[in-house]
Amino acid sequence: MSGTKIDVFLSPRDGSDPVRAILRDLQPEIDIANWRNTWKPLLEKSEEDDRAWDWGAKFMNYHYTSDEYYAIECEERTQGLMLLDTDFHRTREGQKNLVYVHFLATAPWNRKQLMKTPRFSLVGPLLLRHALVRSEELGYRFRLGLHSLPGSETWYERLRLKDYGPDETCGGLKYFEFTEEGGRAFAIGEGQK
Amino acid sequence: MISRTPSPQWYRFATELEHTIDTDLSSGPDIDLEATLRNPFATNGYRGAWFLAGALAAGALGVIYYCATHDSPFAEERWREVREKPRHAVQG
Repeated sequence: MSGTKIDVFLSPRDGSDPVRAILRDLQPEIDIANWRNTWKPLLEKSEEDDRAWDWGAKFMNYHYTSDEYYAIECEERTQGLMLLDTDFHRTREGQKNLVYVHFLATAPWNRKQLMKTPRFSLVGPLLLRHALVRSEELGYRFRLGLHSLPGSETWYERLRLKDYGPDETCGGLKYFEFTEEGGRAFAIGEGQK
Repeated sequence: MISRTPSPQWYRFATELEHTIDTDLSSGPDIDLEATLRNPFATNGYRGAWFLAGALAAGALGVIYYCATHDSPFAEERWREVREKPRHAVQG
């Protein structure tokens, strides 16, 4: 959906005051360049599951009308990226429409696995919440699905997404879904702790 | 319809949730982000090594090419030419 521009706040991990950021449509000249110049050099050195993700190639290859790209920008750096598919995916039970999260990643300097003191928290949750908002806007009632990289499974389990186990059609990655109730609770901010 | 802008309640909820999950995960190494991004060789060590190896190889090829296409001052013919040149010719 073009024209997205939402004021959000990121929490610095050092405990200082929240910093204003913007969740908006991905702008390749900013975000892909940022990924290439700042994310990629750090990820290449790491063992992160997504170190081989090429956001430039993804942006070139995923251009169906149902694909939506989002980015969070703060301090003149891209802090998170997400690619959604708003069609072509259905719930495992009942075959209902849902929003499918193709890819979601936070900048390497925001990751606890990479940095002793990551810069910001809330990047991933803000992007995931926006995916749920889109689900509701499209009439999918907060239904959302995704395949998780191994290193993120714990995160999605803790968010109480329903775990459908390894999916052999997707390289054995675990498939998770937010139910209508679970998705709504997370998007509003209640009862999912 | 839900607001696109998260509410203060959502921020409290998400912060607490992330804090809870964080305590389950161990910390990573302490990377000096700014230094790493400033120095491309620190992040792309292999690329840097390949660049240096390429530059050295190009230099070596250049020396070989020069030697192959120019008369060497140490070539035997040059020495013979000097030795056999009539002395008077040198002295004028």
